[in-house]
Amino acid sequence: MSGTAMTEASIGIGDQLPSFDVRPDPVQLFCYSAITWNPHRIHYDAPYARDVEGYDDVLVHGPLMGSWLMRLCETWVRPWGRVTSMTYRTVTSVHPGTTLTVGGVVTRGGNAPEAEIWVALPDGTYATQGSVSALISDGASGAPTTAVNDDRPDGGDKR
Amino acid sequence: MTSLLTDEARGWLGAEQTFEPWLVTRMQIAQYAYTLGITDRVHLDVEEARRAGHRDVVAPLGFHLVIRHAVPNLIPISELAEDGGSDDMTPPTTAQRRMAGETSTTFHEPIVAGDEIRLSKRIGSLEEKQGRSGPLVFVGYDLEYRREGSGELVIAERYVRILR
Repeated sequence: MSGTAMTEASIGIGDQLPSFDVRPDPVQLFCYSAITWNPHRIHYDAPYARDVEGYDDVLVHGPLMGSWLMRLCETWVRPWGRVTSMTYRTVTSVHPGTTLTVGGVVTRGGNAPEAEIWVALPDGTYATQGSVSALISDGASGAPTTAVNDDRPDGGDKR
Repeated sequence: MTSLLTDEARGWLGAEQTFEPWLVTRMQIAQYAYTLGITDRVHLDVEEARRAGHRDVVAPLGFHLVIRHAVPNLIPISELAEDGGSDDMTPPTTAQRRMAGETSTTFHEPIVAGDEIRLSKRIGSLEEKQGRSGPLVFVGYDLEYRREGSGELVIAERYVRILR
């Protein structure tokens, strides 16, 4: 269990969400295909992805990038509220072995904070981008001041 | 200008499909959490989840994607296409490829182990645009995830599939 080192802080425009890096590999793609019961070849059959679909390699699932964004947002809101809505779209296809940064920045403060969110490629361009709206729970604090968890989720991604 | 959309395909606007309820289990939630590198114990340990005020192990935000992607593929393997995919309410076109467009999700309630979630899907929009590389069809699906029994709306989602 991670420690919950809480520090009082306000959710201000320009604040960073608790970003993390991922480097998807074939094992993670397999597990994601399995749990979402997705038999689509382009995520595991490299000769098919190359020879039939014309990609350099198998593709990271677009929804997996959405899943990382939701992990980011849930970690961000956990100490003080909940996510109410999210919008995202994938701009570029991504191959396994690419280091991706899942992050975001607050664009609106107050009781219903908003943020821009992204999955960024090593050159800083976005593979997936979107936005999130959240709500500070009653009793969490007299907003906009609230508790922010400064632990970084590291998960199992550092292979 | 060539068109991918036939009159038959246009007739798919408003088409609806409701799937059998999906029983959410602790094991699926753990598999999803581990796949995503999520380590918070409320997703993995029922006691921890109850201490946090949940009925049972709570699914991470995003778990509904398991339901969304799995249910259309719950068909005999012999009925899957050559690429391993399923039709999944895709209107018939001459398009060669399909890609994911924008997803917008509204979260009303957390999903908890033991929930039975019924997904329904409706084609709410269907339009063709001219892209740089030729015509593109945008199919907009309106999805509802409801808790069986109470009928509560847990998640509402709009998902766009691009055909080209």
